[in-house]
Amino acid sequence: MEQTYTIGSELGIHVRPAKLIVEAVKKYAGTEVFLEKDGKRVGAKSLVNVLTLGAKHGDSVTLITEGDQAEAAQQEIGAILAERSK
Amino acid sequence: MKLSGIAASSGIAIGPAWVIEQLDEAALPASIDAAAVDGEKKRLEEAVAASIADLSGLRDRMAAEGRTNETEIFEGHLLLLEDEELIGRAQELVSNERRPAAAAIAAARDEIAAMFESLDDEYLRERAADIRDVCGRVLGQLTGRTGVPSSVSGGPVVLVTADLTPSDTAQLNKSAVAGFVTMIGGRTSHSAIIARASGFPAIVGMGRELDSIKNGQLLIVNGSTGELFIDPDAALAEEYRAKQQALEARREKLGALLEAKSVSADGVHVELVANIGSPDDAAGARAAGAEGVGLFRTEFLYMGRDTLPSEEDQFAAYVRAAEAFKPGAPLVIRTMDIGGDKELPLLDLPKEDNPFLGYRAIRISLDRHDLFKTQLRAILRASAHGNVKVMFPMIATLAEFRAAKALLLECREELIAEGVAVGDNVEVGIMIEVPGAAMMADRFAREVDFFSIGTNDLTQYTMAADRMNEKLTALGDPMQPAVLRLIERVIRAAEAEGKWVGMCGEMAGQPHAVPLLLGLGLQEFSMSANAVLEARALIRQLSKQEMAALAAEALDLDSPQAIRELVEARVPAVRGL
Repeated sequence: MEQTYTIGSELGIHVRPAKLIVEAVKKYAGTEVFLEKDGKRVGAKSLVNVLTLGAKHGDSVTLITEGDQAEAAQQEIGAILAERSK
Repeated sequence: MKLSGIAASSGIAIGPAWVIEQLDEAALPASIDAAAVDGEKKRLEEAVAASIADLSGLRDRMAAEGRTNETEIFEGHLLLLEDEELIGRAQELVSNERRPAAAAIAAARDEIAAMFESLDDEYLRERAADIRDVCGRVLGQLTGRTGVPSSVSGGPVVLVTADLTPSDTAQLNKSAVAGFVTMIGGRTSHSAIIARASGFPAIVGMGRELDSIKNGQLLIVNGSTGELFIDPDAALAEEYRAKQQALEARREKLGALLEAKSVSADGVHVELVANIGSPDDAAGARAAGAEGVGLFRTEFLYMGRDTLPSEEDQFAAYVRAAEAFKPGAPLVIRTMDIGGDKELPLLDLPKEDNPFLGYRAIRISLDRHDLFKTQLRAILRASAHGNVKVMFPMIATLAEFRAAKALLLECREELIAEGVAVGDNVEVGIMIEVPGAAMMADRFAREVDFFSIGTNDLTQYTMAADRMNEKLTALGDPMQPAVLRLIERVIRAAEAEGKWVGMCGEMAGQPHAVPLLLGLGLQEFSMSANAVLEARALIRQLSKQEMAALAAEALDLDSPQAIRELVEARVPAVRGL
């Protein structure tokens, strides 16, 4: 499944949210997680990938989850993307 | 032998040299035999595993010490060591291109670091340094070069190195390391900031001459002067040991005042805050006892880069500085002061005959609305995250202040219309550097929220003495009675309108000046962070009422010498400081 989120963090996807995303992805072993921005799609279990997406506050990022826990992963990681704090 | 460099962190360190060898990457073999591939893969795996073990230990230690910043850095590094794009890439290079493990990790490092460096967000570009740091750790495991020692026999050592990475500096511990000297870097480089924050005497930017130093040679680092002595004779070593002990004793005494209030003997509170040039200085300033920031020199955010800092870059920097202090601590952000001795090639400004009397600071900002509004928006946004105040530099006329404030209000309305959070009641003040503004202080006081007296420029303009000219040091003394009279005038003008006055020039931290400034009614003293505790110790001994009488007498004297003598006679504690 996939859904598009607007990045809520004032500083964009910086190290703190990126770390939360990578750590969350690792919890869902049987699920593939990707992030897509401006047509560029990357695997979300790599900190390098998530950071070099370069997503800023207000950018639209699509979260793609595939596998047995697709829905739970979608919810948890989607919340990180949309969270308004820093 | 004596070498000199940039004095980065004050204090004296004495100890044997510990030279951190640099790996000559160019000398690594380009490829290996097919038969050796499995062995190299295994070595890489083991080096990564050993690095993970080291970093986990380091992270746990930082967490136990409550150092959340470092803890988070190392958590990030641990994730990188599991990253398929980074470590996976290095493994691929060993398997597919038959690179030796060390060359593979170096190549993966360069590829990924380049990816970060191509991003348009300054903060993310700087993450390339984390990639280099974490790969350097794996390389160290593979090549066995000596890193920062965690324990040594025979007393703390002096590190001699090209530069220290963030993970090197996190491993500095006082039982093993006395201080350090580096080949590269300046006063604001990472290693210099950490040295000041954690109290390691250090000299940076010493260049290739450090190559001549051998492990075990006795070194004396004078971090206050930037002098490094190699193999000093016994008499010199003894002299420095005595100096070191005196400094230690003084520092220990002052350490007790870290959390103490800045209050005079007769109960008058003042604010002791720091001058900073980057958000990285803020944590060190707090650790040195500063209660907040009285001058954030934002022009340094514009310097040493190829593009102007964006609103986002600046916003992040301001928030980071605010968050280094307790909630509610003041953060006075001065809009950029380019010009004078601070050039900015990006703006392509013409050379001037008298740059200090030229096109600088607010004079540029009021012409370049694009530049100015970007900065004002970033400051206003940061004001939602802390006790942020705005200060305009080099104001000479009321018209300039009104124009700057109008732009600030315009930015505020735009942000509110966009639904962006801004703080309420952001104070707006000006620097008093131009004698013309000091003369008009009564009129300014009706419209500003505060003044901050910039004594370095106020002195050079009042005395017509170029502060860069060594022949004019006596004239360019802020203790000149003419300067003191202007300071008094400014403070009285502010008092009449119920506004507060601070000072952010060097003078605010000078022991001979502090009693006079307290007596004149200065409320905020902003100085180099390392002067804060000395000033606090002094103020706690002084009675403001007595200092007011002292200041009145001083204003009647004819010369800086006479004024200093009077202060020493009444406040013997300042002698020798």
